[in-house]
Amino acid sequence: MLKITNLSKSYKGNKGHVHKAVDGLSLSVRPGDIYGFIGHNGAGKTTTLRCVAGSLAFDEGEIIVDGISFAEDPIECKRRMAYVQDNPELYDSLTAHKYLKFIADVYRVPSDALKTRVEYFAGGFEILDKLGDPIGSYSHGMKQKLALVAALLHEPKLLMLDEPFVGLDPKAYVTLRGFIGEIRERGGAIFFSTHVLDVAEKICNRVAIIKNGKPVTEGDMQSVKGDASLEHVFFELTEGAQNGS
Amino acid sequence: MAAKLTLLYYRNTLKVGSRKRIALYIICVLLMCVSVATQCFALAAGGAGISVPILMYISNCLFCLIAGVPSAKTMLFGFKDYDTQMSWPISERVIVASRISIFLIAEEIYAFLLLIPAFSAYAYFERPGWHILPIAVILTLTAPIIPSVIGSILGGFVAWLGGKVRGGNVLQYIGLAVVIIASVSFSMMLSHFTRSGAGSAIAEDVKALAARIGPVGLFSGAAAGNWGDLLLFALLSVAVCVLFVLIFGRSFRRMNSVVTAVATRGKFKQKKGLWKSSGVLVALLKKEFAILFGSPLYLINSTIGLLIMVIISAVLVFVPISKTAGVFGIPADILPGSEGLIAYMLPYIPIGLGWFSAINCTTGMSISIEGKRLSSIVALPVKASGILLAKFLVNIIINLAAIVICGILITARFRPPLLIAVEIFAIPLLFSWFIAALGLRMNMWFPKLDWTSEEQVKQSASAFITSFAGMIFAILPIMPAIFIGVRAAMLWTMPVVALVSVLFTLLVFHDSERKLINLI
Repeated sequence: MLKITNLSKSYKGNKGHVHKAVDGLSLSVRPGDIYGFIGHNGAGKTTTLRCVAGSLAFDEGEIIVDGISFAEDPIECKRRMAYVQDNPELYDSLTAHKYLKFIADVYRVPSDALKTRVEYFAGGFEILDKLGDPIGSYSHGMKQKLALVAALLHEPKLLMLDEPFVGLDPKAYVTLRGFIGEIRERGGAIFFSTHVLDVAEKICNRVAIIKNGKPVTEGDMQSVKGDASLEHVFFELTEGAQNGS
Repeated sequence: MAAKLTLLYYRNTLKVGSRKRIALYIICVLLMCVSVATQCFALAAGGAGISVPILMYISNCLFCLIAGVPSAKTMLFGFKDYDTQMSWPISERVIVASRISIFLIAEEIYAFLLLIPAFSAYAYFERPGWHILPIAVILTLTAPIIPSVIGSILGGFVAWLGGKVRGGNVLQYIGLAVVIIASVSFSMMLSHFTRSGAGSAIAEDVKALAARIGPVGLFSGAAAGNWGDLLLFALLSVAVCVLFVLIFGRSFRRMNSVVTAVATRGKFKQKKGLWKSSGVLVALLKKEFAILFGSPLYLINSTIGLLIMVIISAVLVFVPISKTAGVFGIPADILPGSEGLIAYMLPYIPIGLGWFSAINCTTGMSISIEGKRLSSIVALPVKASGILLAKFLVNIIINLAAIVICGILITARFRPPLLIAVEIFAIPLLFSWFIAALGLRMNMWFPKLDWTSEEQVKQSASAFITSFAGMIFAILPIMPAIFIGVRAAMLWTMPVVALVSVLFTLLVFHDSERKLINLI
């Protein structure tokens, strides 16, 4: 579903200093995967997700979404996926209804399917009654829910989430897990970054741990963590690698 | 502490490191200075004397007032780091002091632009002595305080009222429009003063006006060398500012809650046709219009010229031509009789409308106003050219609406020859195309995405340079018109404008995919 090969991305500082945020990262997400992407703050998780989402240009590497190369057909790649930022920046002056309609039009969701999907997803997150309100009146958690509804509307094959569980109430967390499961059942995949290792351990079947833009380990959850907890493995690999370097 | 907060804001606004941007800023400011200085020296040479700085002070007051009203909502209230600042162990008055300082510093630039050339012209022709130097410095520094504070109070009140009632945004626009119309009327009155006769006549008119308005009277006395008036003016300015901080600081939090409150609309009801799909471009256009109409500051800054254009067109149509001619500086004695005046004015109307179209630019701010949302927009399955086209079309559509209104009014009233009738519609449209393309390119060169207040977008290099370039470029046909006549000037300059518009359009849309993603 998603194949990243040798991805590199650098940021240039004011005084010509170059910071390599992602350094030769390769990984693959298969259909049906719930893929956890784990790392410290500044490890390069968000940069990787943004490169795949197409909102950030990258220096080297190749990204293939559902068999389509991002370099060759970025629009088709974007149409097959959805990306939800950790802190969704939405349009405060728009009502949630208008925002969802905008997203649906851009992704070309048919009108008849749209009504049903809005009722299903927005109802699931319990924001259906609030769709007439301006987004500016929404709380952080409600904005997060709205961004998730918007991402689910076109039934993406690949759903990318940056820290999706931050700001969600427990019920919304369970609801999101349900929607994630449905995508998986349809043959889609979920690729998400998180700091919450317990959640990753519970719901992911595959995982990658990155440090300083480079993968430390990647593979099936069971093979990565073995008999230990994911938390234990994470600290061993990241702190251990730090001590070793 | 207030100074530290102000500094923090300006460090974020004027990020050091972009030499190109700073150089362009300086060039624009210098060119504006030259333009203002030319007018000031011409007036002073005609014997206007002390009235030159007074006139420029009044212009500055109007400018601060107009700028203050829409700025209040985003500058004083609802800035993005409001919660962070309020959580710090500092007094609310400190925050208010820092916010008003930020606004005053921005307005100070325009005070310098207007008053320094004015005092220079006055000093050059009247030789008042070296004491004018400290007087000019003190007056320039203190000049924007009173009008900016009044503008902020008015703007704060309008924003507060807007937050109290449903449909508050509409109320805000109406309030802003009233202030602008009042200011434009006053400005036209001033324009009448400056054109009604020789310099000495202007001096008398301005002195009479100054005597009627308190702070203007003090400014007038101070500029003439009265140290007592200078002291009083400076003290009054500082006192107004301090009082504003003390009084406003007491209810800042409460007012902010009202101003930033967003009215909810009750339970959402599914209706037939609510989810009817539309095309991608239409969806992008709707989003652009929602952003424009959702931000009073953005709307007013990018459509003020159109509002003035419609008002002036209405004045031309509904007020007898013999009266309006004087206001617009047309010597009635040259071509007596209304038919003669109409014939004299008509060829200039397309240029005038073109100028007003060129000073409106939504695109100079349209990328910056997206802020961090630009990242999400770029991630959508839409070509960058589509995103940019929607932003481009917004400028064209709002201009077109105003041009059609003005064009119909003017052609119906004056019944011009076919060629002029076509020019009345075509020339403003050409300039709106030019400014839309220029603004978009400038915004791609100088984006300001990491803003904490919309005011920073308004003050950004892109917005500033675009509006300045529009003003200058739109007077392009006037210069040759003096020597070769209006018709010939149009014939030569319009292809140039069209060519430059095409060039900027190509610059915007060529390789737009890469250019847009590189902004993030």
